[in-house]
Amino acid sequence: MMKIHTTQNLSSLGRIQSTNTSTIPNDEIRLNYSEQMRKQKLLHAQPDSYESEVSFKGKKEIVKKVITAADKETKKDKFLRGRFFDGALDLMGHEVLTQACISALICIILRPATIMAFPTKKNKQDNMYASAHSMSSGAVGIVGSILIATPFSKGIKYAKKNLLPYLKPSILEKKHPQLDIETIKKPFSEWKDKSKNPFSPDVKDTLTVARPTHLSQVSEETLNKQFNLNIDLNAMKGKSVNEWVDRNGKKIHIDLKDMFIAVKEEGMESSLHLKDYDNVNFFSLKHIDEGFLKEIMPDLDTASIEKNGKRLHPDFWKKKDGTPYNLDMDMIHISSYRETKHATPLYTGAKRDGTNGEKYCSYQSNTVEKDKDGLPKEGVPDILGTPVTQKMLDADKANDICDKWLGWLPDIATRIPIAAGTIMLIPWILKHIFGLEKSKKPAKPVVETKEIAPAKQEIDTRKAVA
Amino acid sequence: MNVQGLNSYNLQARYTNKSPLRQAESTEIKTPQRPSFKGKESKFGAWISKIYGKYYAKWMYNQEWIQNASEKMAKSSIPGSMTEHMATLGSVLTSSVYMWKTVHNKDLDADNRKTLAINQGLCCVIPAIAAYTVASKIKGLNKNLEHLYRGLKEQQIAKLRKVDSEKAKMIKESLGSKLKNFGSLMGLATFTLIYRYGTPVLVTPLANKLGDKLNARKKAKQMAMQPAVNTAKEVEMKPTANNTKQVA
Repeated sequence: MMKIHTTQNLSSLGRIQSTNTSTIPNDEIRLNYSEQMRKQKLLHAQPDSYESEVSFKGKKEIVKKVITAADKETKKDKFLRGRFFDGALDLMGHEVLTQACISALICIILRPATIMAFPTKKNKQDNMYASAHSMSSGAVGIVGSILIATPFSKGIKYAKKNLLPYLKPSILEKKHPQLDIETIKKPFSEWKDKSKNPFSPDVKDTLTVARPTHLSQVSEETLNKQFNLNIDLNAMKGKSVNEWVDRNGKKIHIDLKDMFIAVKEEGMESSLHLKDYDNVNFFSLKHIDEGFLKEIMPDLDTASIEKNGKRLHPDFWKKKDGTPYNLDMDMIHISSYRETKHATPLYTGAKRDGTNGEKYCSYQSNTVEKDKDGLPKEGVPDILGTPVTQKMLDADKANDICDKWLGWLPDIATRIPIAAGTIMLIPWILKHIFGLEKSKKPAKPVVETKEIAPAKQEIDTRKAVA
Repeated sequence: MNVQGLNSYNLQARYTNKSPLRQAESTEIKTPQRPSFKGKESKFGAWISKIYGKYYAKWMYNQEWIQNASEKMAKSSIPGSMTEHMATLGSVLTSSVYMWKTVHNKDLDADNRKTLAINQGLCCVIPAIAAYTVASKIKGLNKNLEHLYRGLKEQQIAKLRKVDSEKAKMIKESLGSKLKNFGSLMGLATFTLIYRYGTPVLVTPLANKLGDKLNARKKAKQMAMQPAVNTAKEVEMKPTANNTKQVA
């Protein structure tokens, strides 16, 4: 059974506790340890195996409290979550057809509406003709793409889903550099990657969590129902999180993986999309890189944070002098989709392999445990998936280009005859099937000399807006 | 202390909070909607997929030169995405056909041909520049929207998992490919909107004006070169043909 420390030396945290309401703490409040770490490293010249993975380039400091505004349901959210936008994203598997659909939407609705609403010098019949012409070209575009390009894009989708085992090993190695090529003799479901995790070709499907919220901003409902804290927030008003106790008077306990800290590292892009929080990202205390932790918490004895290969709860962490570490709970944020609609990647602080340390590494979601319905278990995952390397991302970009080439090729190859056919056929169809013809304008009087001078012939060169 | 698993609490009770976000969520839970555009593929559709997959996609994927060319293009520093380049290429080809047809149209006189050809050329070049510019300007916005979309979908999965696990599973399974398509959709929508709407409505009148100016300048030159004999003698009003060309 896990032992919980109910007494802490709160006086040692006084400096940090006194800043609940500030947006970004000032330099005194931020715990900036990287410079000290560098000095220590230089003084003691200890070998550090971690340095090869985590860059020391950026100054790192803990941001005690990330203030977030309450999420409100906006029209933009409704649109993004709605069926129309979802359908459009599904349709993007057939890019040519999507383009034709967007064109059709414009040609059938927007353009005719514009032509009819803002008539030019032309008469009504001409406007109708121009509108019908626009509508026809939109329809021809859709029919053409369904007949010509869509079968090819369907084939590409099918091949990506079902025909990977039939590709040459040399191609597979290039397309998916993470794949352990030795395992491709086995059935596809048993393919492994080089990290010995189940192989997943989807590099974009990475581990994310709900953007963590500071404990003082989380609703009581979430704290009690999702995190089982059994707390009365009214009774805790004005108190530091370090002093929070549950309804039974016991110090609150949050699971290790649910505890997040915000760290600002110079030169690192923030995934939070919050004003005033450039270079700030969240890290789960369960998954945070040991070396990274050492840099931001130099007093911590990193040997004490693990036992039998498992990360221990901060209650058991120790300082270098052997005394309890007493983690400042006032800098803890927790992740729940009940509190936010924003997702953020699950970073550890390790840098992406193949970069110069300017990007954090993200992880594939190929190891996430699934529940009985086949859905990934809710909340922060226990195990990290395969680290996404720059090589994997480059290969994915090349694969994307390849897919687009193959999808667009039939459309590009037939574009010239289709355009020529459209020019010839649309006026004919409009005239003979719909009975629409461009009106012949009444003759316009022009000044002409008896001896006709070519320069004085005036010809209307207007081209209709169509 | 034992922390209870997230799956064990009552999800319906989670959304009793009166915040607008939770109110919207609770409404959605009560009336789960079927996923859109996701009908079961017909037998014919499945057959088409299989045939084109086996005899086109697989064959193409297995070509080393295609893979190598894709890798080279991925490494190149050309701005914009492949979707945008393909949309532009398609537009260039279409405009070329229109220009070729115009230049060889015997029903038009030389001046008309010139005006129309300029129009069609500009209707290709200006929107291309505009589309690339707009697409690069809204790249950051697209990225933000993509992150927001991901969050919204993850949130949707979190609240649907107890209510409609099948739908939640479907959303989860398609999320990776949808995120991949997100940037392309925004780029394609920007390009198509500019090419198919911005061009005819905004660029055509400008191109016409430019063509008219060029013609007027040419006429003025011709006038200047005309002998003085051509100065006005007797004038009379006479109707003349009106050549107007309708182009899509």
